[in-house]
Formats: sequence, C-alpha cells, structure tokens
Amino acid sequence: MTSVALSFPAAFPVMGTDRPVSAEALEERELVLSAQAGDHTAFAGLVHRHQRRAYAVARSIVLSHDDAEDAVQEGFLHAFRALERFRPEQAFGAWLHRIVANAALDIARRRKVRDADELPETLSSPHRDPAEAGELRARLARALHTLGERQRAVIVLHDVEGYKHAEIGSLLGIPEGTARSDLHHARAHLRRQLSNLRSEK
Amino acid sequence: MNVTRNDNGHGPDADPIVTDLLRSHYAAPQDETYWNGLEERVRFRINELRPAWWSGFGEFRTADIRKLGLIAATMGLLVAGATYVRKAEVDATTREMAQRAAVESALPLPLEDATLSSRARARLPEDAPERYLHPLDY
Repeated sequence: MTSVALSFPAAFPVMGTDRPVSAEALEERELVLSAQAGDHTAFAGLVHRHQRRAYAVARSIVLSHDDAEDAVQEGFLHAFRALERFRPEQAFGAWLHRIVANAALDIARRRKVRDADELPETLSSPHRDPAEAGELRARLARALHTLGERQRAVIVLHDVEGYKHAEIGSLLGIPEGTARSDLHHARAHLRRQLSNLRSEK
Repeated sequence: MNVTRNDNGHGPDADPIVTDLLRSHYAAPQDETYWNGLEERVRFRINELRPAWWSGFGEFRTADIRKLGLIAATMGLLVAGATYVRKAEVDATTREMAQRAAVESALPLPLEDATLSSRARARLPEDAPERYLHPLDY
C-alpha cells in the first residue's frame, strides 16, 4: 500500500463539530486519501472495512442474497469511480452506504419488472443453512414480498440493522417522519400477516 | 452485525417474534471465506477498470464539451467572417481595376466620334427628334 505522508493532529474535529475523531477514523481517512491518489490497495482496505455493513444495507432493500451481493459490488464500483468527488472530511461510510442503497434500489426496481409474474417463493433464495428454509421462512418471505419496497427496507434497516429513523431517511432519501411512519406500517403489516405464528409456536 | 442504536426492534408496536424472524432471515453470512471472496470479486472488478486510450475522453464533462463547442463555433464564425471580408475586398479591387482599364483604353478615341458636334447637328432636319421618337407618324 502506498503510504501517504500526512501530519494529522492527534485528533481532528469532524466538520462542523468539536468532536474528536478516533484512530480508526484517521486510518480510514488515510485510506481514502491514498485511494483518491490512485492506490487500489487502499481502496481494497476500504472494501474490507465496509463490505459487511454495505451488504446489510443492500440486503434490506433487495429480496435475495444474490441481489444484495450484486448491489454491494455495483456500489463499490460506483464509489470507486466517484471517489475523486468525495470530500475526505465527510463520513466515508455514510457516503458509501448511500451509494450502495441506490445500487440496491436500482436492482430491486429492475427485478420487480422482470419478476412481476413470478411467485413470491422464488424470490427468496437462502444462501446459507438450507435446513432452516422451512415453512416459517417461506411465510416470512411471502409476507415481506407483500410489503412495499420502501417499508421493507425501513423495517429491516431499523429492526435488524439498528439504524435510527434519521439515518434511514438519509440512506433511502426520504424524510425522517416518513421512515418513522413506514416502520409503524411495516410492523403492523407483518404482525397481521404472521399473526398465527404465536399460536403455532 | 450488531448495531443497537434504536429501540432494538422492541418498540411498543414491534412483535419480538417477528423481529427475531427478520433477524434470522436477514442475518449476514458468518463464514469468513465468503467475505474474503466478495472482497476479491470487488477488487477484480476494480482492476478491470484500467484506463484505456479512449478513457481520457470520458473525463470531459458535458459542460466542458459545451464550452469547447462554443469556442470552436465562435472561432469558425470569425474565420468565415474574415474570409468573406477579404474576398469582398479582393473582388472590389479587381472590379475597380477592370473599370479603370476599360475607361483608360477608351480615352484615345476622338471626342467628336462619340458625340454630335454642333456642325453635324445643324445638318439634321428640325423635326429629326420627333421622327426618331414617333417614326410611324411620318
């Protein structure tokens, strides 16, 4: 990896705040600057750091693991191409996840058109532990399929990934209030669709 | 992925069973080799983006192209205008020289051959101009 001679203070403030930044953030900033200077290995370092979170964001939007992986790859490629427009004082993760979310939304829209006539069961393709793919999972997949694309993304980002409403709004390009209301409706919808789970369990 | 910055999926309107199901359904792969493989695939695709000889053109933005086009069009108009003016000047000079040459070559003729002298006019009948103007009346 190309080393970039930088003389950062022990902790520099994040843009617009006096909050000090961790050593990890400094390291990431170095990686970003090196990648912007054309160092592919530095960019690979950023991929290594962010791919799991990027996958989680993509997976919340698309219906299958394969599509999520495609979205992650597309997102990283878009980010690499747009890297020179990234300002290093921004949070790289937030910038990247927005790009990945957009890539996932694109894939979800294309998939929606292509698979309009297919049965919902074909949309969920579990990539791991096939033994778990039982009736319960199929029903959840069907229930998720009947949710709107945005509501599904909101409930997964909130209840699975732990994002706050404002962060979800920023990721999906919607107001915080919309994210809050989508979450409420998505929870109610899934509760209705899977209402007999309690009695069966 | 273990991020719990919100109500952790256990708000008043959340169903813990549904939340647990969702977490199980959306759990990211745990296998480290999967992530190494994904990283490798991303790296491979980025390495495929090596610049080709024509990639420099891709760096032109629409605004740049528009600006260049405007400059080229202005230059073209200036050149065309200058050429037109120059050609008009040459044509005018040539015409003037031709007229001057014609006038200068005509000067040696005696003046009385071209105009009626007062003696010749005296020999014409008095009604000559009328005859010329209305020949059928005579």
